[in-house]
Amino acid sequence: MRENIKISLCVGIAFLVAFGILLLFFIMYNEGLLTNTPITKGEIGVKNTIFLLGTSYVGAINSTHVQNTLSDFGFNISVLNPINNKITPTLGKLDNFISNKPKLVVYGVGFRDIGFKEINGRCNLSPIPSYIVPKNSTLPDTIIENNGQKSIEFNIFSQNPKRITFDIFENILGEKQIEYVSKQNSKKINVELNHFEFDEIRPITDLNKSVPNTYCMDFDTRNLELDSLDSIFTEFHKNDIDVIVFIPPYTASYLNELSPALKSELIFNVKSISEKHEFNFYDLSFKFKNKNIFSDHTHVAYNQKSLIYSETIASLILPSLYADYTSYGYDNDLLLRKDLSKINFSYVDLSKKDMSNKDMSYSNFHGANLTNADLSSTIMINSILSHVDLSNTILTNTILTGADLSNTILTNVDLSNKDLTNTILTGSALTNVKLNKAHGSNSDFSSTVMINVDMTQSSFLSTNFSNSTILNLRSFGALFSNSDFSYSQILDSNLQGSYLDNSDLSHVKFNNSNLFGVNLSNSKMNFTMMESTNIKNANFESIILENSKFVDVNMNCIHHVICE
Amino acid sequence: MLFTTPEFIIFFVIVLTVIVIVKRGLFQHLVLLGASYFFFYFSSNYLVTLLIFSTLLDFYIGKAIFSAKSKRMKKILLISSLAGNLGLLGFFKYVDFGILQINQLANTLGFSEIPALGLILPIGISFYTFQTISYVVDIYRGKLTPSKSLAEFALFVSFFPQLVAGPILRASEFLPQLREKISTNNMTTRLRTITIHDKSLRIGITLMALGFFKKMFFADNIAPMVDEIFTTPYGLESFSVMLGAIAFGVQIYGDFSGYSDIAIGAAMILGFHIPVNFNKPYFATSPVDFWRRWHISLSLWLRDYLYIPLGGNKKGNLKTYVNLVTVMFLGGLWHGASWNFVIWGLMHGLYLTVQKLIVKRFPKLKNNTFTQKRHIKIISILVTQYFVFMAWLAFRVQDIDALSYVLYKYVIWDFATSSTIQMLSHNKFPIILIIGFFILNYISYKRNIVEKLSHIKPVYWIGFLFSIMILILFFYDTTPEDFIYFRF
Repeated sequence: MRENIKISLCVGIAFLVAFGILLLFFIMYNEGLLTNTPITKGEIGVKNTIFLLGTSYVGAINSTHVQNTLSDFGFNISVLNPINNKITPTLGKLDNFISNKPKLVVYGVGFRDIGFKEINGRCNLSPIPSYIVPKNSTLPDTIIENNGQKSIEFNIFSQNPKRITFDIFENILGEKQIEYVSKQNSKKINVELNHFEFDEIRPITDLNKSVPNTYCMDFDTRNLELDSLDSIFTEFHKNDIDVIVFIPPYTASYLNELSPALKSELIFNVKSISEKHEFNFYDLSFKFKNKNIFSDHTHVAYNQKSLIYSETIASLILPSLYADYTSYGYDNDLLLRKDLSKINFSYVDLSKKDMSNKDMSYSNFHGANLTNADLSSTIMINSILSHVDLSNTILTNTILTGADLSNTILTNVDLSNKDLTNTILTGSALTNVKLNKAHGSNSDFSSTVMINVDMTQSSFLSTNFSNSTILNLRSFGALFSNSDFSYSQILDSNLQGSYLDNSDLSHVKFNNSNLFGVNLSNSKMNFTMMESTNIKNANFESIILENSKFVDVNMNCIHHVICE
Repeated sequence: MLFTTPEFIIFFVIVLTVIVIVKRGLFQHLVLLGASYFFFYFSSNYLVTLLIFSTLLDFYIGKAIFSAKSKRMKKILLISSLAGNLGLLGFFKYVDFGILQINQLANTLGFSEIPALGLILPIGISFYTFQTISYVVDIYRGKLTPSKSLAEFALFVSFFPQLVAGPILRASEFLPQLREKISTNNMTTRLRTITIHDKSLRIGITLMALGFFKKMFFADNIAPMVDEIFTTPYGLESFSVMLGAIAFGVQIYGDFSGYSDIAIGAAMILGFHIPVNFNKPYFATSPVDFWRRWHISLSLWLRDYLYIPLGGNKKGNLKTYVNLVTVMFLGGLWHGASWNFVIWGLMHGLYLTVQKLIVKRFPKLKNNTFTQKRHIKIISILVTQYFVFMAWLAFRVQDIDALSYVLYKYVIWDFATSSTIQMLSHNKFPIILIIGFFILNYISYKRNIVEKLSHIKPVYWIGFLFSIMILILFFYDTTPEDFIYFRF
């Protein structure tokens, strides 16, 4: 018996010591003593703090990376990502944010936040009711408190030891390049900061096969949450706090769960509220839909390889910061020179400026404002025009060969007859753009949004159009041979007589489009979807159709199709 | 309740405490019986009625067989028992599988489908039905006298350490442990008092600690990598498939042998000896040797109650091979109502048959000094394990098309490495665990680690327990993985 007691005591001692060490470990980790890197740049204070607000979709933004990016551009600003904030509960915490007098709030509004949720069972979607933005919004009399989110409630039983251990090891081994904003510094502000957990990237090919849930729209929730959002924005506006509003990125398979009408409606709802308060609005929902940066269908991973999301957010923030500056690094006399090559004009306001007949090749216009500027007959070979607003810019005879036009806004721009060989237009938004008889091989139009673009008789061979959304394109007789259209959506477009031979059309969705007489020979059409599309006299010679769907399409006129 | 939860620890401590306090044999056994039924009820709710049914059926049929005068009557009673047990097992385990196959055929022929019953698989049914079958068959064969006490028999069937996932006990080994010894060869029918001996306590705790370590530290931390590899196996490179096979092999071994160690350790603490279920299977030098080391209680059961009654190897070569394949086919099917388990069983049946053929063709190989050489043994181990891990693919990948793909990749190497290297870099910790596992396995190969650890000085023993606990706790993921063999 005595021996048994001794043995039991040994077990008890081992048990108690092990658990004691574990508890100590949790406490030290929670206090930020084991891993977290304190903020080294900038002091948290009036007008030099940016809050990233929103639910878990915003949680994946690496606030430290954003902060460092802004710092590279000379802005000493603290970027903080407070813990999970649903819209209506945020009403109860507004004082916390406003009292810190941030310079800017970046507010992410996900579709789930405004009522598009997972359900068990079937979805019976009623006709989409409109949402009317309230004219005058005030905070409700009873502010809903979000229990448990104001203070850190330390519960040992809710900690995940494995995650904490890995976090510490990665810090020790120097593998953790993502820096968390220290919780210690949160004592200077009265908000609890986010510590995001979805850090593994799942291959986008797996995620895009299907979604695990059934989704449905709850319009009552939408109306309630949008009203709350409007109230929040009203308070920010009242307190002179600028807000950048965005829809966070999702995978293609998740976006397919939303009907186009519903998606447009929801985006429009958020955009309307933003515009009411004169806040900038950005739709990033489709932007990375086929990129390998997601941990699940709706969350970008908190991972070194997903920093493009954080960089995009930084690029949205920069113009707001530069709005305080009338110029950056140049004087007016500079524009009188003819040779303006290799000059850094990044984030400069050049709107309405006359910059015609100049040589601006290799110059950097990243983030500059070129709206209504006159760039006619200007040479802009290999210039950087990324994140530029080129709306209504005059580009007659402008040479844009090899220019970097990624993430550029091209509205009402005439690029007809242009040589766009090797030009990069990745991520750009082209609205009402003329590209008639423009030409360019090896150009990059991937991930663009092209609305009402005219590419009649243009020639873009071996061009990358993958992941693009193309609405109302006119490309009569255009040459797109050997091009990559994979994962694109081509809606309401007229491609009559175009050449899409030897192209990659896998995972493309053609909806309500005209492919009369289009040459599709030797093209790849795996998982291609054609809905309500006219394919009369189209040439499908040597096409391999694998897992493709044809809905409401007259198949009788397809010749030379090999189906697998 | 899972062994690896606080509920089980609390439950076990309470049972031990009550056993120590209650010193009378009958009451101790009733406490154990009650605890076992409570354990089962906690896991399975109303399905405890099936356990009761099995227990009552075989207790009374066993008695009836023993007292039956004619062989014909004995046979009838035996068949009734088998029908009852196998009927129960077949109904709950295979009826939906059967309906699925019928529906597939019906679809082809254009008939309407039969709705599936959606039955829950009662936990442990595969194990306790085999236990009760062995009891009845041994009585029929004259190797065992039936238990006179229903409580004693019920405890044999429901003994909680091994109830839900084995090892499969034999009545001839367990029932005497419940009875008082008069002499070495003689038992009374009186239930013995259970005493917790310090040696058994220490060895039992050591064994349980190692079991928890294998399951919670190795198996559970390798599982995510296995899931990642096999969730969408299409497109995997050959090296990734092999990595997945090895990882799953280590996972299932850690899981199952860990569970067995916990069961054996817990039984040992209570003063019962349960036979070992694993004996370094990844050092097996041949398929036959593998089945002498892996899930030993099942392979012995299959040998004694299926292979030998079918004729074993006594009815000519062809019949031997047929018997081997039949036994392994049924063994595969026992593991689950799915074609991949059948394929797994058939693969092992094929391995055993091929080995028999080779030995028959080259009889001198068996006792040759050349084959006993160390480097030849190593080659034998590597070749055997190559095929064993290949069979694990069939065990793990349920979809037949995906299984064909991975088996093809396992056999026909593509020598591509890009995504394997990426996978390795994302799964450094599980890889380290797999390497660590093989190193520890090698170290313990010729040493009785449990004995050695149980006899070290108390301060070092505390250090050992503390180390195990710290490793388990610091790498514990709050979403516990189920024991794989619970599904059977």
